[in-house]
Parts: sequence; C-alpha cells; structure tokens
Amino acid sequence: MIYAENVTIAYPYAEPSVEGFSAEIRTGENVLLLGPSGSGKSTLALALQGILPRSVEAEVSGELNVFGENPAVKCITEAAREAALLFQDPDTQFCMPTVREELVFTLENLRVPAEDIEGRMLEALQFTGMLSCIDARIDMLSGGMKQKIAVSCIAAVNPEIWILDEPLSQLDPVSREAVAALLGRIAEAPDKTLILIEHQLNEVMEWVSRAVVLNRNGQVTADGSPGRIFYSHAAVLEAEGVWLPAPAEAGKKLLRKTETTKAALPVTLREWEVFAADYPVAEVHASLPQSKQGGEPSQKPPVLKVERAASAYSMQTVFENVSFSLYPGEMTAVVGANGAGKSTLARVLTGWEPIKSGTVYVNGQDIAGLKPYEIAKTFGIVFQQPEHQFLTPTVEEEIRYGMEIAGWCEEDIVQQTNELLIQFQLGHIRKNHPFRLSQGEKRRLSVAVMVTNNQSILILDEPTFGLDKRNADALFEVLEQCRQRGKAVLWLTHDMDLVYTKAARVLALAERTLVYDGSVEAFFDGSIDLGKIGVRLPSVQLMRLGGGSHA
Amino acid sequence: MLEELQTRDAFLQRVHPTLKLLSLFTVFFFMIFIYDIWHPLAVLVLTIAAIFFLGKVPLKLLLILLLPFALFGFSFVWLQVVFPEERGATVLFYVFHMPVALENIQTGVSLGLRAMVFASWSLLFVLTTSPVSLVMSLIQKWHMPPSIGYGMMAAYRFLPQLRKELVIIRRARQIRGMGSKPRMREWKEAGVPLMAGAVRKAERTALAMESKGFDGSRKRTRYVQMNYKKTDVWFTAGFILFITVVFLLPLS
Repeated sequence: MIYAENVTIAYPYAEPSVEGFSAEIRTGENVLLLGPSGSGKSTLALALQGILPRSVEAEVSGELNVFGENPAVKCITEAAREAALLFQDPDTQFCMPTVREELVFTLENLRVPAEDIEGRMLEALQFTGMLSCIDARIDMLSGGMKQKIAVSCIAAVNPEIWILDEPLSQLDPVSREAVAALLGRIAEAPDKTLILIEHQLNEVMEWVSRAVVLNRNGQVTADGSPGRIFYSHAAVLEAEGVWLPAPAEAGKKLLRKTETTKAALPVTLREWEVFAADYPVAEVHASLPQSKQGGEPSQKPPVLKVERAASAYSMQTVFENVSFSLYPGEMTAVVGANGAGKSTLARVLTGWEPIKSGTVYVNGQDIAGLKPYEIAKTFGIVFQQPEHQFLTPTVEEEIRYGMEIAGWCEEDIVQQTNELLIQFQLGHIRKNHPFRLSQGEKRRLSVAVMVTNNQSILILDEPTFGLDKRNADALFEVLEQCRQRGKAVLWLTHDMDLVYTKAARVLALAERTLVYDGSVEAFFDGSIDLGKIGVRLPSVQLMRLGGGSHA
Repeated sequence: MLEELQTRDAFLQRVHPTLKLLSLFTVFFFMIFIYDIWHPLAVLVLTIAAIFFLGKVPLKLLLILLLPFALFGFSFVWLQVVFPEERGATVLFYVFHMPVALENIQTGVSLGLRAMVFASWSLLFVLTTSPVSLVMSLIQKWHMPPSIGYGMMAAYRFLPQLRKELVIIRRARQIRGMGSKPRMREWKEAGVPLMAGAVRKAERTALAMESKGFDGSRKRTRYVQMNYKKTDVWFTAGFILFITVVFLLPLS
C-alpha cells in the first residue's frame, strides 16, 4: 500500500535529510519509525502525506507510492481522505476556537454533506470519549485532551493511514497512557495502517508490530519485529541514541550479565515477565536500573529554605503550607499531576510570583527583600523553551554573556568559556546562531549559560522534553557534574523513569500542598499512594515486581 | 468574558454580521456631513441604548470601555479652544488671559462626539459579533476567500498564546540579563524569540490545516448556513428608520 524505493528528500540549500529510504508497508501494519534526531523521520511523515513537496518546499527523488500513486500529485482533499497526520504540539493543530467548530471545519474541508456532519462528529467524539467536551473551547483543555481532540478529528475523517509524529512526547504520563491506549484501539482495526514516530516507547509497544530503524542519513538499517531488532541491532541503536522500551533495555543487560542468548528482547511488560522467568530473581533485579542513593545528610546550611509557603491565583489556592529546604549537592525532582502547582512553586521560589503567605529564604535572606539581580545571582533557571533565554547571535557570545555582566577579566572568561564549550559538547558549533541549533544542542546551551554565573541553585522545567536518549543522558551528565560541584539541582518533571534513575530526592505536590519529601526509593516502594499524587510507578519498578523465576 | 457577550441570547447578537458591518459603514458615512452637537449626541445616546437594551451588554462595562474615547474626544475640545483656526466672537470666559469662545467649544464638542459615535458603533459591532460567525458570514455572503477567512481564525487563536509567551520571554531574559537592562531595549529584543516562535507556530498550524484537507477553495460543504432571517429584516427596518429620522429628514 505504501511503497518507497530509494527516496531522497532535500530541503533547499541543505544536505538531503533523507537519503535512499526504501520500505514497503502493507495494510493493517503498525510500524514504528526509529532513528536519532535529525534522521528525517518527520520529513518522511510529511512526504507520505504529500504535504511535502506540495506545500513544503523540498526536492523528492526516487519512487514513493501510496495506494499506487505518488502522494504529491494528489489533490489536498484526496490526500487527507487517505492519510492523516497527528502532530506532537497540541497547541498548533487547530484553527477554530471550539471542539465542534474544529470538527466541522475538518469535515467541511472534505466536502462531507452537511446533513452527515453532525453524525460523524458525534461518532468520532464518542469513540475518543470526548463527547462531553463538544462545545468546550480548545484553549481551555489540557494537553492530553487536546491530543484526543486531534485524534477525534482524524477519526471523523476515517482515513486508512494514520501518520503519528510523536503524538505523546508533549504529554504527561497519565495522558500519555490514555492517548496511547486510544491509538492502540485504532491499531487493532485490520484495515488501519499506523506509522508512528516516537521516542518514549513504553506505552506504545503493546500494539506496534514492526520497527523500522533509520540511521543519521535516513537510510533503513533494520526492519522487522521490534523484539528482534532491539536484540540484533542493540549496539547500533545505542550508538544512534535511540531510547529502547524499558523491558528491552533491562533484557539486554540481563543477557549480557548471564552471558545467555535469546531470539528477541522483551518489549512489553508481559513479554518481560515471560522472559525474566527463565532467570533467578537476584540476577533479574541486578539487571534493572537502580534508584539513586540519597547521600549523607548535608552538614552545610541550606541554600534555600521554604517555610509554610502558600500561593493563590485570585481566590483559588494553588498550594499552601509548603515547607522544605534544599542543601548544596542535592539532586531533587518535583513531581505532581498537571495543575498541581509545580510551575507555580518554581515561580514562587525564584521570586517571580509573589508569595501569599510564608517565607522563602535564599542563603538565609528573605527573597521578598532581594532585588532581581540578587535573585539572578543565586538561581539559574532553565525554561522549557530554551530559545526564550538566548540574547546574542552566537553560541560563544551566549556563554560569555553572563561572565561579562559579572565583570570577569578577559582571561578568565576565555578559559571558562572554552571549558564549558567542551563540557557541553558545543565546541564545534561555537560560531552558530543559537536559534539554528538542534533541540538537544539548544537545551545544552540553555543549561551552559546558566552555570556560568556560579549560582548555587539550578532549577529546570521539564529538562528532557523532546530530547532523544543520547541528548538526555548528556544533559544529565552535566547536571550531575553541577551537583557534584555543590549546586542544588531541582527539576520539575512528569517522567517517573527519569525520577527513579536520576533524582535522589523527591518533592511531590498534590491536594494543594507538599505531600511527600524524601528519598526516591521510599517514594516508589509501595508505601505511598501514587494514584493520589497523579503519577505512576516507573516501568522499572513494575518490572521488578513482575520479573524473575521464584523457584 | 468577551465571548460570553458575543454569544449572549439577545437581538443584536442574532443579527447577521454583514448587516451590522454595513450599518457601521453607513453611520460612519453619514457622520461626515454632521457639524452640530445635537445629531452626534442623539446618535451616541441611541447607540448606547441599543447596545444595552438589544445587546444586553452591562451599561457599566460599556461606559468604562467608552471612557478612553471620551478622553480622546475631550482633547478635540481642548485643541479647538487653544489652537482655533479662527477664534469665535462669543467669548464666554478667560483662562489665564486666553479667551474661550462658544463657537470653538461647539466645534470641539462636535468633533469629540463624532469620535465617540465611531467608538460606540464599533463597540456595538465588536461586543455582539463572534469572530467565527463574522468570518463564516464574510465567506458565505461577501465571497471572502476561505484561505483568508480561516487563516484569520487561526491567527485569532494565537493572540492569547502570544501574550502568555511574551510574559515568559521577558522573565527568561531578565534572569539572563541579571535583572538589569533598559526597558525599551528589553521589549524590542523580546520580539525576536516571540516572532521566531510565532512563525514556527504558524507554520505548524498551516501544515495541520492542510493535513486536514483544507485547500483554501470555495468548494466546501456548509454545516452552518449564514442565511438572512426575520431578525435581519427587523434590524434593517429599524436601521433605515433611524438613519431617516436622524440624518435624512433634517436635510430636507
């Protein structure tokens, strides 16, 4: 149904982003496209629908057929009837203010007769469980709900091919699970073909039947059942920085440790249980990633002390009675459901949001009495959108900026800049414009500029958002170095696997207050009601409970 | 807030947006020939009454919205008094040895009221017309190309997002700049990432719209027909009566 032979796609004035892609996809297959950032997966997705080169300027050569015809020569409505695209950013997929208007817009585009529109709209919303939101304003919905509305629009069109470009990457774990389950129901239909691009694989492996691995140039390096490919191409995937689903990652380690072989790696929890049953429990547990150990309690005074802090928007309390301290050399994760107040807490800590009651002490001083520049000397804050913080035209100047303002002498600036460029692997692009870097590079740069000022606290909002494994690992290596140098590192996240492996301490917000403050181990050992906090057990912990022969 | 007003169940909200737009232009046109005080004053009072009674817009909100225009209108009076083209003969009193003439005050008040009339009719339109129904009407009745109409809708959705983003960008840059920067420059520089973000968002939205089969052509089905109804007949009749009584009769 989809046939690609030696497809090469190049944007104007650039090296080809896909070079020699060949594959054949049959009706009913659910294909996962894997590859490092920049391997042209999104470009391929656009080409399969025909948007590229129809509306996105690029040169496509080779043979590309969808239903026996080049998608680029089809008219827009015909292409949309056959193949739909689901994008990653929930905020930019709609053009109308309400759910109903958006669905009507979609169906009118395809010239669905006016009398059929109502029925198809209701049916689609019924399918996604969003019927109660039919007259809701899309802006008011959460990211997960927006994504479900986007799925509803496609369901109303009912195309045969669904191309999903990282549909889960901007969602929190609970919504991710819900949207993944929804997509799974579509995948079950024998006449629907799903082509999925995704980094975080834990939720989708239940229904993915085939994996296609692309290398940096967009060529297919492996193609087959996911379990087998993760096994046979483990080294390549690792080198390319592709996340494996947690069971496959652990299975790989287990095989290496026990020096045994299998035909395939487990990719789902169920497969993991079968897989691990052949091995003794101790070995199985040893192959799973360990949580970080909280170090000795610090003898130093806290850098940040929060006493009975409360925050409110107009009359609505966001949180109250929050007290905790941060010590030098701590790696702490802040978790909680959407809207639990994580971002508000970060803003209160940094003096952006006025505190309603209580006090925040920074190095022993009340933050209310500090000037903005004094606060900036203490906090490094990395925003979710790295671009928001870039001020200068080159990477190098960007790093020098803070030191220049702080009045360092030229010699020190040059030395420190060079060190940071090496430490953050930005040396080869030191003359580039910050806006033109890749997502991972931008994130690294945004952290690099924040550690130039010797601040004692580093706060990051969703630091691994949209990063592939290699970039995420590189980022946390740097954060770990910062921690070892005595900084207190605090990050907000939805990703429990990340919390489990990278944080030593957890702060959990729920029910308008701080409900947990302690070690990561105790947080996930089963004694805490995680459902109440709105988070899940990390997949590693689930595997621990379900794995190993107990004989 | 605004949406709630625009979709309220009231007479003006049910009137076809194209008619309201047409009435707006008509009033603007006839105001050109008016130089006295009483005509604009009558139109202003009638407009405010219409918005209040027929559009069910709270009077207090309406007056607050008109306040800046009132100040703007008063500046005409001041200008006419201080820098008159020709000083009037009927001097009423002196302010710091400057004669204040009745004729100049009258011209000023007339001009000021005219500004208020423009403002109040614009409010009548804005407060009672939802953007979606406006765009749908323009596409269906005034042959606006759908590519422009739906493009405007998408852009309209961006506005609140952009405002939120600007606040974040300014804060992010303040932290980088150690909180010490001249304000004007800061604003100007914040525009770069804001624009970069807006362009990217627009690009993504355009792709999403095309992937949903939007080709910008007029060949599309219509779920909501923006047809003229009984309300529109009443509105038109009332409007013609209003124009006749206020503008046409005094001329003849």
